[in-house]
Amino acid sequence: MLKVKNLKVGYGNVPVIFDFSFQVKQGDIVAIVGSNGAGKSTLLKTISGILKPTGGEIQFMGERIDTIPAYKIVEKGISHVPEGRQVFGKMSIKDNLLLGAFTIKSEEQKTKLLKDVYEIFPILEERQDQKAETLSGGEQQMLAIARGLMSNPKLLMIDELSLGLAPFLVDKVMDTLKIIRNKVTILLVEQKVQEVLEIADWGYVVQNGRLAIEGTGEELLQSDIVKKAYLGL
Amino acid sequence: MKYRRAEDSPLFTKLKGEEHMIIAQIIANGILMGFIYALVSVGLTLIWGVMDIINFAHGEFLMISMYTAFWMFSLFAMDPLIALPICTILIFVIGVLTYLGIIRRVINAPGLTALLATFGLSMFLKNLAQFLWTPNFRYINNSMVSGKTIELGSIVIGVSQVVAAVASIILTVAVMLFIDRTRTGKAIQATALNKNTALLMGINTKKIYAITFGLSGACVGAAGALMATFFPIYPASGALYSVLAFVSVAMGGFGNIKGALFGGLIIGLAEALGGYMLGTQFKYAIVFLIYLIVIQVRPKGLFGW
Ligand SMILES: Nc1ncnc2c1ncn2[C@@H]1O[C@H](COP(=O)(O)OP(=O)(O)OP(=O)(O)O)[C@@H](O)[C@H]1O
Ligand SMILES: [Mg+2]
Repeated sequence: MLKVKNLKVGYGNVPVIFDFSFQVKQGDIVAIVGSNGAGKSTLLKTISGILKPTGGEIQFMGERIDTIPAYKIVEKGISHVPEGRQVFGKMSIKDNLLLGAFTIKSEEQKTKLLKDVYEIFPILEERQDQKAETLSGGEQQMLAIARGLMSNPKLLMIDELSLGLAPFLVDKVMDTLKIIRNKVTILLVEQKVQEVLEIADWGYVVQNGRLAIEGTGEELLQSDIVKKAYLGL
Repeated sequence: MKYRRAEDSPLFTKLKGEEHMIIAQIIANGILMGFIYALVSVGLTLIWGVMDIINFAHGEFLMISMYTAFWMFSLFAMDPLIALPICTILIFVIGVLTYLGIIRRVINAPGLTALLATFGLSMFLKNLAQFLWTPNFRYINNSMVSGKTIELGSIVIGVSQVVAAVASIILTVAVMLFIDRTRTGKAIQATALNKNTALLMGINTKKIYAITFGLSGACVGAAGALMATFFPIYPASGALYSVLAFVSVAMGGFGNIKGALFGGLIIGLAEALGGYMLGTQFKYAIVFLIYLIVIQVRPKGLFGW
């Protein structure tokens, strides 16, 4: 579904991603793990079109997307939940969610999507008229994920899912992902390597903007690189 | 000069007796002007709020609108109030073109580039107006509202000012509702709050910027047609009002529409009362004094966050 080939990305003249290739198969949960500054967020920003690559190409559903503007990539079916929540603090929770559905034209479908995310995160419905900035960090993370689902994506990319979430909430969100995975393909970027590799079908380890190792979640958990560098074993 | 007792000062005597009727008159004038300043300020604050750019050519947009009203009047005998939609749409289009032709190219440039670009545009438009239409003052003397007055008790107010103020209120509220309620308005808010995340929602932020510039132009375009019914029209006629709008925007809190509305009102009142108490030559001194006090107490403006 998503194919990234020989991707090169940088900020100004500073290269950050060097010749990176990977892919995501439809229906899978795929994890990208790596230490701080490895280039994980940069990768996601490039896929969603916020950054333009200096080399290589990105294909989604057989179509090149690295040359089209970011707002059109959402229409193609990619939703990116950015690192650090980035909710629209001065706007209501409901407005945040509806902005997530900005590309959806049918009011009916919007209402249905809203109902679906309220079912997953009931707290958001209770507080729907409150300003997003009044939510706790964890609640804002739920809002960010819910907002990401509101565009009815084919591929949902979440950057640092667990950030600021209590362990039981991480479990809950992971469980939710397992439920929605039959509808949505999921690409996760995580620092909590253990948890994410446990639910991932396939994982990639990034080091300094390069692919270090790939494999099934289990294989990676058993690998020396992951054990040494990320699990401290 | 010292007065022995406060009651001896001219200020105090002026406030005594029937003079309070004059004060009421002046407050009425100030409020009416305030609403018009508010509309001009709303246009300016919009661009700042969404794009973090100060449009120095804002006053020149106003001037072009005033000239448009003037030419419509003198060439086609079209009343400024009827030309108002034309002025509004014209300056909307000029706003959009300014974004597409100039701002889009400099918005990501470092430092003062964008600021200098709008400053350059302001100079260019002022000189162009002088070249095309001479520096002469022009007036629209016999529009349908010119010279007419309404008497409320002992207060006499000009119909043209009342019409301009009422239209300004309506338009300011319309802009607020548009930003607050509509889908495009919400996309404007989202872009203002966080441009990259707005992109991730599928919002075409470049289009939003163009719309914002257009909307800002529409505000000042409407204000220009209204002001043309009672202010002289000349190449620098917009410059003063854009300075006043900068003050009201800063006073209300940059990027805050409600702030611009109150800022405009405060300036209208300060100007009118200051002119009366201290003399016309000092009326703007009062405006800037109040501004200095406000930003000392609330550096981000009355409604700033
Ligand atoms: N806006 C930017 N301008 C310049 N350099 C940047 C910018 N954003 C990130 N970088 C650099 O790019 C590199 C990769 O950053 P990135 O945010 O992709 O890392 P990450 O893997 O997501 O890290 P983390 O786990 O801390 O979120 C880092 O060295 C960082 O300093
Ligand atoms: Mg990151």
